[in-house]
Amino acid sequence: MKKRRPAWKVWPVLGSSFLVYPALAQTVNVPAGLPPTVNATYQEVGMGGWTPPTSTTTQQISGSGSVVSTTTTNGSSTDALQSMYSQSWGYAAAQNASALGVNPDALAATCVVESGCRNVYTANGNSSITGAFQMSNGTYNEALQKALASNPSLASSITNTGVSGQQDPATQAVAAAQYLKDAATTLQNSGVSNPTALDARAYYNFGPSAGVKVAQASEDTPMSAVLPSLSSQQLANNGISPGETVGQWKSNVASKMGSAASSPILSS
Amino acid sequence: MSLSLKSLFACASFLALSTHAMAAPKSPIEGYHCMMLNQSMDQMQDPSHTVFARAKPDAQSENKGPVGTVVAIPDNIAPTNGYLPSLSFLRKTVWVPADALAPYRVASDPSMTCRPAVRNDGKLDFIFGH
Repeated sequence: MKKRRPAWKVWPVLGSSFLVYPALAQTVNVPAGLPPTVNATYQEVGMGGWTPPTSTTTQQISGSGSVVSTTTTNGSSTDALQSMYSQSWGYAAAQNASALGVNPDALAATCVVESGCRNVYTANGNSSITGAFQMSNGTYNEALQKALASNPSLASSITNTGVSGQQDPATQAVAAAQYLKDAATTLQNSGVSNPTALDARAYYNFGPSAGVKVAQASEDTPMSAVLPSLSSQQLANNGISPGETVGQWKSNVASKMGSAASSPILSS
Repeated sequence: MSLSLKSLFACASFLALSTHAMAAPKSPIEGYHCMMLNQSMDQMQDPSHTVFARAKPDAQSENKGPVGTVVAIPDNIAPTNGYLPSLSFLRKTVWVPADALAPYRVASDPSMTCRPAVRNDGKLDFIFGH
């Protein structure tokens, strides 16, 4: 019979195996984006003040376990941006937005509200609105062509410039970013300084005429009053309850967008 | 008695503060009335249907941005070259195509009334009621 090895002899062996394990890791890659993270939008009652990290550090580790490179990105990213990054197309969408001078946080806030940043197919016989950014074919086409005209280098990252590109979120992000840029420019010219993702929300959802009016309206204005042509059913379909004010609507939208609600649209 | 007076004063102060927080101070603009953009939701969302205000009553004059869904128009005024004068957010005169407008009526709340107004900061606003 084999003699049982004493515990004090076993634990060092087990411990050293854990110490060796990290050396087996090859590299840290995030080709499909970062995994979804907890959104710290609502603070738990009784919880003390909490400040999210304002920088991200990525290390590349070789097969022998040594650190090949360390990259630190300064600046805080919003919870909406993290949601977009958790999608395989998230980084490409953010890059396309930046190429148009649009803040990726504002783009991410839009996709979070529109679809939860999921590439949904929602077109039907009555509407062509579809995709992660929920654009109609008309708006998508016009905005995409405008974006490509203003920055032709974007064409190299787009494989499908036809209307079927709507279901490619990285491509649709080009059109959505351009539309947000148009919204910001229009709102600025209409007296709204440094428009945020929240300021542009009504423009994105209801078009330029309603968007400008909602952004300019005082908080106590009923939403129905600045959307006079919409029926009760259309208001309900857009999540607007009877008597809801502009202030209440903005608050609801902001809670969905999280910290990205206050992100300026224009990054330059 | 003293307690009830104090309570009354406290209630009155609370109501005054609540009203102030809920409704921004605005003053009606005499001589103007509300009109609305005569577009369906589908038309408002379609960029090819966007109606623009102009610097002058002329389609070729400077584009002053999209016409809002609610506009302030002077009372008893006839169109000039198909355009009506209107007040911008900063209360400058811009011109909007008369055929794009309709009398103000809220589809979801037909009894709602609208009066053009000015805020304390001098910007255009509206007073809505019933």
